[in-house]
Amino acid sequence: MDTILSSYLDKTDRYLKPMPASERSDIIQEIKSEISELQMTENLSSEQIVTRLGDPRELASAYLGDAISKGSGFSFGRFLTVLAFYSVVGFSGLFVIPVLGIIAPVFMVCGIVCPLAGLFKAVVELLNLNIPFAEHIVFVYGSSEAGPVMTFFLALFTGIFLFAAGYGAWKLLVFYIKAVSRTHRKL
Amino acid sequence: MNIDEWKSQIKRGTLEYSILLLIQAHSSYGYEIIGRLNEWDILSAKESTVYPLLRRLLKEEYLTSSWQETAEGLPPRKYYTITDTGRKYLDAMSVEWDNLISAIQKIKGE
Repeated sequence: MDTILSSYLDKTDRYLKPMPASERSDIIQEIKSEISELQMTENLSSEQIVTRLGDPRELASAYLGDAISKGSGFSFGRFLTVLAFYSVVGFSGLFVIPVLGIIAPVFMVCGIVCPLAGLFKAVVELLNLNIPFAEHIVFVYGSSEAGPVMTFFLALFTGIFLFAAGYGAWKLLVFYIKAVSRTHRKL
Repeated sequence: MNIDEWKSQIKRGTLEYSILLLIQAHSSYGYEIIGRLNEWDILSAKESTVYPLLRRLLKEEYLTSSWQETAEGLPPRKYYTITDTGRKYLDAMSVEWDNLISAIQKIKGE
């Protein structure tokens, strides 16, 4: 990319200022891709390419065209929409993100640790090993304790349940965030 | 007589339809789309028209896009694919298009 082309892209990028940076870089990337097609496939010189793409200001304003007409002017309806969006997202996000964000990893880790602990306990009991703290791992129902094999299976099922719950929470969190950003883009 | 002004109005009105038809046929990228359109004088369009239009169709969720590497040592291309919403939109457009054509034909024939 020579100086003519890179200065053309710089200018276009600058005229795109009203847009978010991520969108701008995507647009520039796409123009870059177009430029290399013109160079490689049609053997156009930098001057010919710049003429073909047109004035950077006009190119940028074609992109900005509907962004500006959509955003220009104050409308009470739009104000209320934006207000409602940020109120709902702000308020729900206050609970949803931290709760799911904590539940998801903790439940998944517990889901792995729990069966391991059950296995550990079962091995200790069955082989009659004398390992400290093993007596703390125990399933109690009513007044009776679960036997070693039962302990392992109970721990395994609890683990599966916890892991599934944690995974579900993670999916829910991803879904929530995607839904929010999708709605935000449409705003 | 200024036929060019009328031609550019037709072009403006049908570009969205032509582009969606091209992308429905198969996923495509900007340069290829412009090349296909330029096969016909009445449809030919500039980069500064096509790319912003593609962007708007993305925003309206008629299209999705993905960057794909090329084999020929060119930089990645941004491929556009039609969505289900886009397909419905296109079907509705086709109905109107057929209405227009048959209306014009009837007028001409009478």
